[in-house]
Order: sequence, then structure tokens, then C-alpha cells
Amino acid sequence: MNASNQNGPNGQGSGFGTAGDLFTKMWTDFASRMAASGTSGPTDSLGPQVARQMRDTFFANWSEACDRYMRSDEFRQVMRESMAAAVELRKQLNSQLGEFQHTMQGASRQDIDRLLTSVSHLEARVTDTFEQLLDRFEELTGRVESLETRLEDASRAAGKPRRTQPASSKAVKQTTKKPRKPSGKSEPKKSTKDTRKKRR
Amino acid sequence: MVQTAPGPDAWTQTAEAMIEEGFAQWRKLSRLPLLAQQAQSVRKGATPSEVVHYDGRVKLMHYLSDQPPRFKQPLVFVFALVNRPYILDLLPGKSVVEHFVKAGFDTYLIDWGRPTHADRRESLDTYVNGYMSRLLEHAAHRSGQDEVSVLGYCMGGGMSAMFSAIHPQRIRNLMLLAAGIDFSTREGLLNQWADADAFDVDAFVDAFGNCPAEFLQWSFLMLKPIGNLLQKPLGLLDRLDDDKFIHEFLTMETWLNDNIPVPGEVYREFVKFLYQQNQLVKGELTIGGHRVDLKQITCPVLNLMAANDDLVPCAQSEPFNDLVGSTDRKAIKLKAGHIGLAVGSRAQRELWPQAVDWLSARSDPA
Repeated sequence: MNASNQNGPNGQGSGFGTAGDLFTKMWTDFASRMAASGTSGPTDSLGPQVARQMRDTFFANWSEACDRYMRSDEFRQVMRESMAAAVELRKQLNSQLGEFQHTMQGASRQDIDRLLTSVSHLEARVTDTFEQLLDRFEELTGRVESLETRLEDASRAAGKPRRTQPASSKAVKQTTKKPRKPSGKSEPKKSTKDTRKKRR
Repeated sequence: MVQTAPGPDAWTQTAEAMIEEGFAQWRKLSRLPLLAQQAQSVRKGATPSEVVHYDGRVKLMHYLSDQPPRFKQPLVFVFALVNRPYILDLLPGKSVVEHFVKAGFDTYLIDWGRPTHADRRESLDTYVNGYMSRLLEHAAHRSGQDEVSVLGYCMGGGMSAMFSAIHPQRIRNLMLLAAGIDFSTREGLLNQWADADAFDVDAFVDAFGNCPAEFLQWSFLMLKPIGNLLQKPLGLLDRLDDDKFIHEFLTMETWLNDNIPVPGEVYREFVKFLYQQNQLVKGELTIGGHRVDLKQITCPVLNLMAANDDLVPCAQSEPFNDLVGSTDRKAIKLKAGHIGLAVGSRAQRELWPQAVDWLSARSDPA
């Protein structure tokens, strides 16, 4: 029988009455199983080995009773209420800590979260734009290549071989150009102290 | 049943045995203070390794070997996000990594690192199509290959299956180790606790950001509260004078307590889309605009499961082989627990040699 139906019309109730009953039942079941499952050992050896056997039987039964209880609807109801309380407590703690940080003119976790969210949105936007640009670049390269092919075909048909490099390879060449040597302007100047020392 | 009462001799023997036991226990207890000192010297990871690539906090570890690789395709271990990955390489003789390195596989492992509050928006897309994609590509390029073999453990197994379904051309062989795929089963306690009517994952993640490591730790402990909170400490007291046992116990406990938070968004997606809506099996899961269709997995598949797994019951892993498009698929079920599958003596003896043979037969010789 589902005990939660006894609580009220919606089956919710306080939860603790039936959960308490079930918890008590778990213990009574466990006790009766212990009584029935032979805590009696062999009569000629009442040493520590028997004590260990009794202990193992005790734990095995207890473990089984616990498992049954933790699978019950009543336990889940208690668990749900405890989780809701923990979540509420955490929310209040977050809010109080945030207020405290603001009072102390510091940055709260919420502020940092907002900043992180903006950064991650910015990152996503930049990455998306970059990917769009890459797609566009690939599309343009394809179009240029097809134009070149058509141009070559046309010039071949006219009997004039083209000697110019395809535009796409030029573009690659431009991007792989060696960087210019840094000009003298960007080199660090010697301090006046150094020059004075040298003069002496 | 009528039992005869013990005679006076039996009582004397019992009293003597109890006194002896008392002294033995006292001797064991006197070693207790040394445990903390021993726990500090526990080594994390047995096989020598180097970090070959960083992707933010995520690392790609490469295991070193004296011998050149015997197979062309590298093997990459993908671990879960809830613990540190050194359980796969816990101790010499209790290491999954060791089996594959010794067999001549160029072996890598993805270490997800410890996410901070700033990482809480990382989603399954960030992991599967981002980190995993880049790191697997890096491992493949280092070996001069286009494909890699993957072994995913637990949550990492689920992610490996998702990756293989989205990018099938990049996976040579797929091995899953206690991986949750079909979440319709009510066998496991976690499946029941994660139900939508019992757990509001949105409210939880909105309030906490990341899923706290302590929360995960307690959830796992509560799967077997009597065993974990009472039987285990008593078992330790019983064997305090066994140095080998203590060393293994401390190493295991160090790992068990080395939980890490799970990025909030991944946790939300995992609970909501998999535990609550079972989208992976229904073919409704979409990651970064890609629909995850398990039928797209056509590579050889090896599905390893633990018969006594409390965390990922067999019923959760077993349907995988019927959902993929592969024709070469195999399942092995071992009588072990979730962690025993990686570190248990039976797994080292029976399971991993089989897995190594299976992978060797499906990889190109170097």
C-alpha cells in the first residue's frame, strides 16, 4: 500500500508521519529478521569467530533493511524536502554574501558571474564571426578559382597561354610574407646615464 | 532446534579466546596513529607518465614505455568527471593502464583537472565536441594516425559513446567500462533518486553552480551506508596488522575521497537528458547541434560490465550493444563491483588480458 495516499487528497501531506512509520517499520523488520536469522552459533565455540559471524549477519540484515527503506516513496519525499531546504539555504547564503560584498565595496560572485558571462558571449560572437569570415573566404576563393579556370580555358581557346599566377596562390603568398625587420625607432634607447658613463 | 548448553571447558576456552582477542585488538589499535602518516605518502599513479598537451586545465597524459609501440593506433582512456583518473593506474599489479602499456599500446589518458566556479557553464558540448575532440586529435597526430581506440569508464564511457556516434570516422575501436547508456532501469538507487519528481536538478545547479564534490561523495556513500560507514572501518580495524592490506586500503581511500566538482551545466544535462529523459537511447540527444545517433557507431565495440555494480547496474550498460550499428561487438560481464572492475584481483586476472587480446586483434601492427 502506498503510504503517501494516507496524507491527504493530493498525496503530499507533511510526509514525516508516514515516513516515520516506514522508518520504524525498517527497524522492526530488521530486529525480527535478526531474531529469526540465527544469532545462535555452534555451542562448542563461542569465541571471536562467532562474534564476527554474528556481526556480519547483523550488518547484512541492516544493510538490506536500509536498502528497502531508501527505495521507498517516503524516503524520496524526505530527500526532496531536504534538497529543497538545502537549495533555499544556499540561495539565501549567495544573496547575503553578495550584499555583504557590495557593502564592503567589493565584487560579489554574481558580479564576476555577469562579467564571465559577457566574456563568454563575446568569445562566442568573435568565434562565430571568425567562422563566418572563413566560410566567406573559402567561398570567394572557390569563385576566384572557377573564374581563373574559365579565363584560362578562354585564353587557351584564343591561343594565348597565360603566364600569370592564379590569384588564389598570390593571396597565400601575401599572407606568408616574412615579417619586416623592426625599424631602429622601436629599439630601446640607451639612457642618458649610460652615455654619460661612456664619455667619462 | 534443541541446543545443548556449553560445558565448563567451553566457557573457559571462550574466556581465554576473548582475552587473547582483546590483546590482539589492542596491538592492532596501537598502529592506528601511524595510518595518517602512511596516508600522506600514498602515490597517485603507478606507471610513469608525462603531460603531452594542455587544453586549459585539461591534460593529455602519455604513459611511458621502454619498448616502441607495437600497434599503430593509440589508445586513449576517457575517465569520468566525478573522480580523479588514477584509479585506472592505482598500484603496480592493479593497473588497467599497465596491461595495455605492457602489451605495446601507445597509451594516453585524459585528465579533466579540477573545475572551478568559472567552469560551471561547460556543457556536454564543451567536453565531447571540444576537449575530447581536440585531445583525441592530438593523440592521433602524435602517432601519425587519423583514428584512435578509446576506453571510456563510467561517465567517461557515456561521453565516449556520444563522441563515437558524432565522429565515427575518428574511432578505430570503442571499449566501454561500466558505462551508463540506458537509464530507463529502476534497479540502481541513483536512478531512483535522480527521478524528476524526487530531484529538481535545475534549482540545484542554479543555486550551487557546480555540483559540489561533497554532494557526490555522500551520494555514493549512501548507496551502501552500512557497508561504507560501518563495515569498512571495522574491516580496517580487523586487519590493521596486515601491511599489504593497509597500503592498498589507504591508496583506495585516497582515491575515493579525492572527488572533484562536476561543472554545473554538464551535471544538469547528464541528470536531465540521461537519467530523467533517457534521451541517448531514444535518439533524442543533441550535443552542440549534432544529434547523437548510436547507430552511427560502426567500429568494433567491447562492452565491459560489473555484475555487482551499485552505481551503474548492468541493465544500464547491457543494451548498448544492441543500439550500435557495429557488427563486431562483444560484451563481458565480470562478477565484481563498479571499482573492482578496474582494480579487483579477478579483473586483473580474467578481464584485462581478454580486453588486451580483443584490442590487439583489432589494431594495425606498427
